[in-house]
Amino acid sequence: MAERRDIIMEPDESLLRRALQDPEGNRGRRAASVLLSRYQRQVYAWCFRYVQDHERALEMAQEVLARAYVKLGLFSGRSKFGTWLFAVTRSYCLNEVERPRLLVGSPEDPDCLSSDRPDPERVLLERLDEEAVLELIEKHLDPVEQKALWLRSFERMPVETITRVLRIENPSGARAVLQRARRKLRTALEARRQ
Amino acid sequence: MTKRECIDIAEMQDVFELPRSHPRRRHLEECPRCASLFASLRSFSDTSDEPAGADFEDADRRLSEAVENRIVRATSARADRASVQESAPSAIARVFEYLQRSPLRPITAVAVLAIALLGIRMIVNAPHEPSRTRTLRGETAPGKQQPVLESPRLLTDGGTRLSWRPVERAQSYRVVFYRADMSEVARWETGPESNLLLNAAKVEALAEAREPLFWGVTALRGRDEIGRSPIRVFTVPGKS
Ligand SMILES: [Zn+2]
Repeated sequence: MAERRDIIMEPDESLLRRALQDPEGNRGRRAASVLLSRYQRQVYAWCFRYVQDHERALEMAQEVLARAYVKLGLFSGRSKFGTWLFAVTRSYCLNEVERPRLLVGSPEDPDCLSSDRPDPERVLLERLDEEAVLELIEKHLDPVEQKALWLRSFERMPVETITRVLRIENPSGARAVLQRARRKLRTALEARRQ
Repeated sequence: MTKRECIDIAEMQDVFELPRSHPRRRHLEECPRCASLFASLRSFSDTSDEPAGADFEDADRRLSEAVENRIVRATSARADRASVQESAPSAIARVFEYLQRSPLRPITAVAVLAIALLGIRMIVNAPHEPSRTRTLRGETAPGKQQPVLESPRLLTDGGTRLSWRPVERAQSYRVVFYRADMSEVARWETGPESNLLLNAAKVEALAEAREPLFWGVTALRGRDEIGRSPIRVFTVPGKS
């Protein structure tokens, strides 16, 4: 019991060291389990933000934790363990959700033009690579709009989550910011064509 | 325009602690890509920010159970371990053989080896005591829990058949392909069949990844996971 209490108080780094030193022994396994359990809430919350479904988020979180366990030996120690686990979780979630189009939205993005309308700006923008999009949005959008559009389009983040991540306080949250950002981008692209 | 020097996620916290005037700190705040990623990281770490509709109590209980079952209770019986250890050297030999054949960058080679060794550790430590292996939902699942992967077989039409030893009570299987960093490349559900036919086009698509790939099989009963194979290096037969 005392050992269990001690292990719970142990810093991440020391749990990790023990998990890697004795991966097959009881103490190593216990250390890995305590370490991963420490972050299970965060992993679940992150998955939930992407899928808005408890059961699916649980399945995803379980998968992330299982992968993290298998990959523990690849953790380089360059960052905090939590940062590394975030990278594993993020990469998993990105694989699980489809990338929204930059200018064409799902029902979540009602401001977008419908996809059946010919739209040269849209076509052009969808073809641009990340670097070109970065350059473009830096030139035409304010910092909050830049981040909101980036999170939506490249981090595949749901609108509601963007509101929270960027701590946007206006009543319509990231939705209004995204609308504004897309409008500005479209205008900029139209001007570029003329 | 100069090339954008984005900041590795592992360094972001340290960069954030630099003075505001430092060019890297300025980049972290001004580059949409870095600033977005850093905002995400901070949001991930903020445990007070609980999304509406999430059931943390249930998640805590079930995830603790899953982690406990998968890691701590998955102690293999000594007898089983002895028999599995016999297969470990052949797995190592396969990876070495693979590395010798492939012009891999050193870092990838290290990653391949690390994953292979971890995979072997998973074989050795895999749950061999059926009564102690439980699913996420706490259901006790008897029988052998681990799909055992067989070597891919090349078919005459250029396709490849992957097969594995079935798991008792499994209703379906999920086959997943991974890169060396464990990110997913592709996944297929096979239904109750304990094999997957990759036609020539699919094999071609996988071969295009031009990097070592790994594959693994998960056994499912409904949506519950009741078994998982260790991960293996995937080589396209005839192309290696
Ligand atoms: Zn950057």
